[in-house]
Formats: sequence, structure tokens, C-alpha cells
Amino acid sequence: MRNKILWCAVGIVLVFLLSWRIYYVNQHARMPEVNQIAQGDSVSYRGLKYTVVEAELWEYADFFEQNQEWRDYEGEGEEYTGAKLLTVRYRIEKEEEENNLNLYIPIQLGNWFNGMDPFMTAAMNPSLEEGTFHSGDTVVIPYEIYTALLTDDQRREVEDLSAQYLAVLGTYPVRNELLISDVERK
Amino acid sequence: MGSVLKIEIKKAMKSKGFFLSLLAGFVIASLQIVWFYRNKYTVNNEQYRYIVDLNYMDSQYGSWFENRILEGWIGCEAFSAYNQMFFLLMPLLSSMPYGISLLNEWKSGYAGQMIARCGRKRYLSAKFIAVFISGGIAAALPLVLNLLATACYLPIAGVDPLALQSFIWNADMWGKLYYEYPILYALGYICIDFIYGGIFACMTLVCTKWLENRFGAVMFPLMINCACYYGIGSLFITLNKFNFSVFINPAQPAPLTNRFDCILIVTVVLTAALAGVYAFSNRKRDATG
Repeated sequence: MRNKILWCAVGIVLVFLLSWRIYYVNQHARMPEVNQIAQGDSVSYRGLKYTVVEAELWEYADFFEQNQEWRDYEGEGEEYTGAKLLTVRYRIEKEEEENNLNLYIPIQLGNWFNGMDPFMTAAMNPSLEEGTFHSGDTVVIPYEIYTALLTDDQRREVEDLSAQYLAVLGTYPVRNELLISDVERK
Repeated sequence: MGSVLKIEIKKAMKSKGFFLSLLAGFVIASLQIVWFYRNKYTVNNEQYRYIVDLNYMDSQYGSWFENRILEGWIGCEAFSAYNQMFFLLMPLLSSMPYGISLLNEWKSGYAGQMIARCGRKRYLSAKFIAVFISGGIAAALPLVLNLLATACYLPIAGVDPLALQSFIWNADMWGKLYYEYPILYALGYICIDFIYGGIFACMTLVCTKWLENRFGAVMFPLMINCACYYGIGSLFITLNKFNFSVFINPAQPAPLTNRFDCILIVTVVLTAALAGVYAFSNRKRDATG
């Protein structure tokens, strides 16, 4: 009987210590502060101001059909069956003298994300390469959306343009999420 | 059947095989935690210290991710070899505790005595259930303890998809749970692994009718698992949704393959087949085999 009580006491102490430790870890987790910005509003990041101006959703094949000059960047493979291409136009303005342009802006839909193709982005925005890009100009970034990786609901939302995409600028200590809710079909 | 079952479960839990199997499971789970802590968590902490000291204008500033619980849990951690090692060895860990007990008891005459005292059906059913439970515990307990230990240093939060630390897609089975309710995801898979631990243990139990070599009987589910993983898993990829050696792994090594309805069908069919063969093969069995 005494042994049983002792084991119970040890068990209770262990459960308490474990619970306290798990609570402590979760209280002290280094989670980013999430800053969500509506489409059309701006966010400051490294001395620049980013605004989502517009977004267009294309059928992947149609985009390259209509824009032959970027045909070199067309991907091939199973993942492109039924794929879409979302082109997002960002306005970038200088806010501080010292600044750092970041064009690696990944896009997130639910728990799926994709980065941008740097070569295609460069081709679509010649002013970046030519050095003629000025404060207040816009940049178009194309994102491939592989619908096979999405859930049925997400696929439906992408189709009927009700999907809300997030363009993410920085992940820690602040995660800036530029909401893309107004998407036009092309 | 209650009292017989109680005796069988007690015997299973007190067996040397059960102790050895749990020990092996804990060793793998502990080594995995040490590996992840040293090679991922510590490195990530160093990165954190580096990132927070950077100038706001530095191009590396603003890109850091906290490790989350499923990144470090042996079930989903796919950076070390421990995940694969655990799930490939799971049939062995499950069948070690009590899988060959029936063979031993037939050979020693204990089974005959029990059948004479409490009836064949009661004894065999109790044996089946006890073997199933012992196998399930041997498979699931290291996963549970690893999850608890991981929760002691990684926060319970879904993996950030941008962190590129996960191999689970939205369209994968329980993809939403993985990102939003990681503990539910882990518990769901632990339940699946408990059941498959039981099934593996019962495979040994069933095969002892024909396989009288103890070593061979214990290894039998491991051979089946390896054949399914490397054989069916590589040659007939389209069948992977029915391939238990693939879908028992919470890391979902075959992308967009696992489906709950397929898992349910395979589980029911496999359990029913094992129970059927077990009942049929033991209906007139005696000490001579």
C-alpha cells in the first residue's frame, strides 16, 4: 500500500513537472508578430514601402500562349497539369535613404506556399536589370500555383477567385502578410 | 473471457520480450531526440542569435523560423535516419513482446492446460487480444514518449510552410491538422501505429502455426514490411495508398498518397484476415502442432 502511494506521488510530481515544462516552452516560444495588410495598403520593410496593386490569375498554358516572349520560362512536367499562374503587381516606394530591396516575396495559400522564379521576374521587369527602376514604380512577380497540391476546397477557391493569398515579407521578428484578395481572371 | 484476458495481458506486460522491445524503441526515440537537439535545434538557436544581432537593413535580417513540435517528433522528422529506422523496425519491435508466446505455450503444454480449463475459444481470443495490445503498446509508446520529450523543448505550434521543414502538402491526408493542430495529427497517427503494431504482432502469432522457428516467426512481419516498402513501394507506386508499410509513417514519405478511407479498408481487411486465419488454423490445433 505504501509503495503504491509512493509511486502515485512520484507519478503526480512527474506529470506536474512535465506540464509545467511544456507550458513554459510554449510561453517562451519565439513566435513572430503577425502584421496583416489589406490589399492596397502599404507596409514598410527595410526602408521601402510595398503595396499590392493588382493580381491576375492565368491558366498556366494560356499565359505563355499570350506572352510568347517569356516562353523560355514555361515549365514542363506533371505538376503543371491544371496549374495556374498568379501575377502580382507590387508598387515599391522609397521611404528611407538607406534601404534594401527584397523581391523574394513568397506567396502562401492556406498552408501551401511557393516562391517566385527570379529569372522570369527579371525578364518581366527589365527596369530592374537596366537600372531604370525608380521609387513608385511597379514590379510584377509571377507565381506558379500547382493545383494538384491543394485541397479540393482550395482548388475551388482558386477557380472562383475567392482564395485569399498572402505575400510574405520577412518571417521574424515580424511576419508581414500582404493580403491578396482581389484577383482578376485573365 | 475477462479473467483469461487479464492473465494474458499481465503475462504480456511482464514478459522479457516486452521489456526488450520497449527498451529498443526508447533507445531509438532517445537517440533521435539527441540528434535533433544537437544538429537542428542548437544550429537554429545559433542562427537566431546571429539574426537578431543583424542590422535591420541586412539582407538576412527577417528570415528565421522557430522549430516546431512536429519538426522534431520522430514521427515526422525526416532529416535523420531515425524516422525510417523506427518505422522499418516497427514490426520487429511489435512482434518481440508476445508474438511467439502461443508457440511457446503449445510447446510447453501450457496452451493445452489452458484450453482444458477455460475453453479453446476463450483462451485463443484472449491470446489474440493480448498479443495485439502488447504489439500496439510496443509501437506506440516510444512515439508518445518522444512526442512528450519533444514538447519539452519545442513549442506546440504548426510548422510554418515557408520554413521548408515539412514534407506534408495541403492535399496530403490530415494536411490541415498537420499545420494547424499538430498534436491531433500526431495522436491520430499514433493511433494508426498502435493498430499496426497490433497487426504486426498478430502476424507473428498467426504464422507460428506453420513457422516453428522462433527467430523466423519474430522476423516474419519485418520481412513482410520490408517487402512491401521496398518491393510494392518502389515497383507499384500507384498501390501505395493500400501499402501499410508506407502509410504507417506520419512523415508520409509518398506524397499525396495516404487516404484515410484506404487505410481504414486495409486495416479492417487485414485484421479480419488475420483473425480468420488464426481462428481457422487453431481450431483443431494441439501440442503436436
